[in-house]
Amino acid sequence: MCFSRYGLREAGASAQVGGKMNIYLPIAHMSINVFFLIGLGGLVGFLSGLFGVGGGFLLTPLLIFAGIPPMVAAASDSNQIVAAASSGAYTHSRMGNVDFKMGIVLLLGGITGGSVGVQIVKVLAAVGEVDFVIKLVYVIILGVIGSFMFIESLNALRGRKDVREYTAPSEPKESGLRKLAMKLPWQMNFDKSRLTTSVIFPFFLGTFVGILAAVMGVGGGFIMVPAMIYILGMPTIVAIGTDLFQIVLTCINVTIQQAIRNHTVDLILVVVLFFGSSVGAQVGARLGKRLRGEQLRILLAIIVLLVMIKMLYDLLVTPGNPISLAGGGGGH
Amino acid sequence: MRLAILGSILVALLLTAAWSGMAVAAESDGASVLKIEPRILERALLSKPYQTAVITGTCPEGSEVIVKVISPTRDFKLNKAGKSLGFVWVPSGHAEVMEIPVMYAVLSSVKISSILSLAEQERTGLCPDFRDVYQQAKIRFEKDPLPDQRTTLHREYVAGLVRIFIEGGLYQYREGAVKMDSRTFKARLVYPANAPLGEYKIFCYLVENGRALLLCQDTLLVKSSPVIDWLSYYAHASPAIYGIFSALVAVVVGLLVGVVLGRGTGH
Repeated sequence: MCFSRYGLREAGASAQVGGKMNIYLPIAHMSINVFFLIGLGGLVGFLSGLFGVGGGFLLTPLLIFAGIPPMVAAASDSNQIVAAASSGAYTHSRMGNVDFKMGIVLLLGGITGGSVGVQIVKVLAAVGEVDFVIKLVYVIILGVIGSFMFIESLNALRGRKDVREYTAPSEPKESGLRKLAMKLPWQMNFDKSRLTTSVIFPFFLGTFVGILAAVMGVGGGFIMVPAMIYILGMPTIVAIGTDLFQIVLTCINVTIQQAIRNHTVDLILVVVLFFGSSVGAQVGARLGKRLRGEQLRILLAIIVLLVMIKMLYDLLVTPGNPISLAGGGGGH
Repeated sequence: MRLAILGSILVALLLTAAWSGMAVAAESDGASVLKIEPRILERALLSKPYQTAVITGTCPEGSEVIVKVISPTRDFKLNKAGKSLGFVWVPSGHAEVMEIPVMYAVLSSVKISSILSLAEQERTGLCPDFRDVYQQAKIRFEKDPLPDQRTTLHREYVAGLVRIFIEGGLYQYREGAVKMDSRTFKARLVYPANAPLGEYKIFCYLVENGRALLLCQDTLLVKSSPVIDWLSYYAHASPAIYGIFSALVAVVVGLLVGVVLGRGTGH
């Protein structure tokens, strides 16, 4: 049974405002305004379309701010990502942009990481620390990514250095990690990506992203795609196609695992969010074409940092009520 | 002779029945009959943020009435926040509060403190701070506290939970919410969509000479719609099927929307 701040305020104020349409989320055990939820999905979809990112790393924190229990937010977001990424993955596979060999190695890591991550969530929930850990991981990840993006975009805007476009041709410089990956055992030839590398690195990359998918409810494209381009040296379009392929299957695994282990996938929440995000993404994508890449990146960086600051503020400020429901719920 | 005996028995039975009927009618006249509309509330997938149930009954003229509504109880796992490293608020204690009603509403025709003493409020569970539930709720600490801290911590956890319920509109103390009209009273119970399912107990008290007398009591049933029931059941009883179903729905909906909106280059 969860009583979110939003849901509670809604209920309390309902006598005056009557006529609002709420939707009951059977797994989150709460009632929430359906238009607010569609709007939230639409906002994230809009940003997703505008900036060309997945949006999972924004959706989970926003759902938490809206009062959805963090465990349900993360698990349902993973399921929503399955819906959001499936058509992209299908189209890229038809266009021949998926390196299935690499995708399967990443997927094996993703399944391992996803299963481990779900187990971590289960253990943390049992000791009552899961909400805090999810928020802390978000503060760290969003803080690092947001800061990096902000500095990089600011430098690009100031014209201090050349900025490689996201769709830049695949001739990145050989990084130290790339050289290391080429020296590790179990070398494998990936024809589609036109490279030979050890399967160890992509496997562990998949594992790391799988853990993040389970704990944070993200697809992990914001880590996976740059890693595939700059560390493994994959062509950008193949990296994006392969990333979508592994995201769909990794998130399917996380969805099923979360449903089995933690009972936290709220299908109603997923469908409503996806409805909003699909429409928002269309609008965002059209608007995004009118803006310059570095302007978009600095905007995204600011949004990411604002979300991080809000989460950090919640961890630092004295809570109004020192008692909270463990795992965002607890009635059973 | 037989006919006379049978006739006497028949007359006696008829007289007894008539007398019983009159007695029942007299009893109905004196006691209040509670009417709840609707008697069953259904939690639908799409609804207003709240539903209302109208409770009406009869009472002696010029009296005051208090209506108390108590939901089924539930158990709640709770965290207590404490400072770590001097600046970060982390869960520092854990406990499970058991058998606490999730909804507790007290509706009255006038200000309760003006008609009932604190002792009488306590006796009938009509205190504004819902102290009745503090005694009713049981607690299990993850780590047993020192004996002298136990009572304080018990109170702290239950108070925190009650505060969450109050903020959610689940614990209501609405003075003046019972409307009196000569010999009838009418109360409108606001039922938030977050309130639990099950059978709610409704008690109506008549206040006379500073005493709250139980006038009548009844029940109200709250149940969920088949869709919610189905999803909740499968999510817990067959989580593997529910998980696979959720993933399949996501893939199908994603592909369909992709086709309809002409997406397909990203997510």
